[in-house]
Amino acid sequence: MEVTRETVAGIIGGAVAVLLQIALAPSIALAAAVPNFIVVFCVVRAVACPDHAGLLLPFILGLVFDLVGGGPVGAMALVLVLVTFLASRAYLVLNNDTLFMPAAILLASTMLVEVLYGIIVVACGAGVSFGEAFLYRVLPCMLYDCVIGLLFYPIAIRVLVSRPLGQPGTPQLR
Amino acid sequence: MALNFQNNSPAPVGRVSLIIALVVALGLVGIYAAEGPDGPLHKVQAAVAGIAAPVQSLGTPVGQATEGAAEAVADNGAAEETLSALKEQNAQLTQLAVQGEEYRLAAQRLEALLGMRDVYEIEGPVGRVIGRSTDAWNQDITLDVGSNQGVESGLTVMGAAGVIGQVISVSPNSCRVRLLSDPQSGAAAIVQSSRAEGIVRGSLDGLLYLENIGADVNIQVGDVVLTSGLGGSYTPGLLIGTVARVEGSAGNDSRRIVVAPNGQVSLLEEATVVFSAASDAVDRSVPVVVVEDGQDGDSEGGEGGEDGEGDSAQGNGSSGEGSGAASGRGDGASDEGEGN
Repeated sequence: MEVTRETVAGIIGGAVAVLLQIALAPSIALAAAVPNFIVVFCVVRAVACPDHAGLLLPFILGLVFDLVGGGPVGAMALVLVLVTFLASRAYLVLNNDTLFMPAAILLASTMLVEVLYGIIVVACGAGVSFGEAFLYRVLPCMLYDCVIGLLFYPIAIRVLVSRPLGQPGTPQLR
Repeated sequence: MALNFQNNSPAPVGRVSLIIALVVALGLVGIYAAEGPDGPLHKVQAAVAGIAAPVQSLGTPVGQATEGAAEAVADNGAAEETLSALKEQNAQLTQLAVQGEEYRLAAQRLEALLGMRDVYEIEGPVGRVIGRSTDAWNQDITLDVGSNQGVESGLTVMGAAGVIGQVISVSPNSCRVRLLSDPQSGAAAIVQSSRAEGIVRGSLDGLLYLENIGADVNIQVGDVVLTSGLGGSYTPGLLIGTVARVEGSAGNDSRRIVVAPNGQVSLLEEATVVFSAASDAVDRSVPVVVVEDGQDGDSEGGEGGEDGEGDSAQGNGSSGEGSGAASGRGDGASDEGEGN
């Protein structure tokens, strides 16, 4: 595997995301909503650098999340691999050099991650209905992650991406 | 808004690696769901949680540092040079006061914990809460006692005011405790006054529900709920909480009984892992927080059972004959002659 700036930034960013998830996320939970820095990082990275996003990092980070947390092992890995793949492909196809498209893909991907993870957790025997899970867990977490994702995205495209943004004359995030 | 469809865009990742990753992840989920709590994936998860436990304790200082930074930013805006010395002195005094308050609160908590241990003759190590759930789907905490202190999976865990959960995984120096409020938890329970048996379950909305109670059993707000020990999952006779709300009436199958835990887990800093408790713990009296119509009110149930008679004026009742029992019901209703 070629070691590029994106790769190194991805590894460091992933480690920071794991650290934040373990140490900070429980402390800044709002009622039932615990932010998921790992999801935010993976989705933002898939949108910020779709060419170099890869599947290995989302898989590993998802697995770490599953092992550190109490959920089914492999569930977040599965969801992150699937959603980051879809997000990067969607961005490559739909990118129109405006801020709207990455933001929309970011929000949709974050929502998809939480919904899919909720379905797997419920299917694995959480002892609750999906409606209840959606109302009390998926929805609050989804909103929290979306807010963090939107805040993190402008930073991520400067830190994670080495190539110049767009062609001369195209709008850039400032 | 024109979309830029790029037909010649390079594939970001290979389909083969995608399929492999998905299959591996799906396989892991399948194995995890199929294996028992002693399976290899559960063991790996417990080991990783044990490794991550010290990192989790970093969270509290980070939160405090964030608050401190916000205060510092606010102070910088003031820029009052003449008051700098007084501010410094004030900060020192505040620090001392905060430190003193911390010691006082710690002493209070430990005193309560010791009180509970004395009442129930509990044997087991006391652990500090060093971490909380890193995701929204699990209600659990991490204690800094583990297999090196003799902790095993399945043991009951008590807070200062009652049962808070059960050990679900253990590493050498830490253990993970699934709280009663977790939807996956279920504790066999008994209503002290009526001796009706049921199961206390957690839920996603954070409430505890008493289920599987006979439809004809009369349950009232304030009834004390204890662990029954049925099935051997929880140590019997330990206080869970009191009935806070009854939706529906006796005879109604859809009746929902909400149990208020006897103490706030969110404020918990220490907990006891119960190795053993007094064999007649179910009949012993403990301070009960009576919740009525959503309002908290402290009602000491500690004196109940001295004479085996109800004491409605104090909100205490007794069940059993001279066994030191207290029903703790707000109306003082008693069920004499049925105490174990």
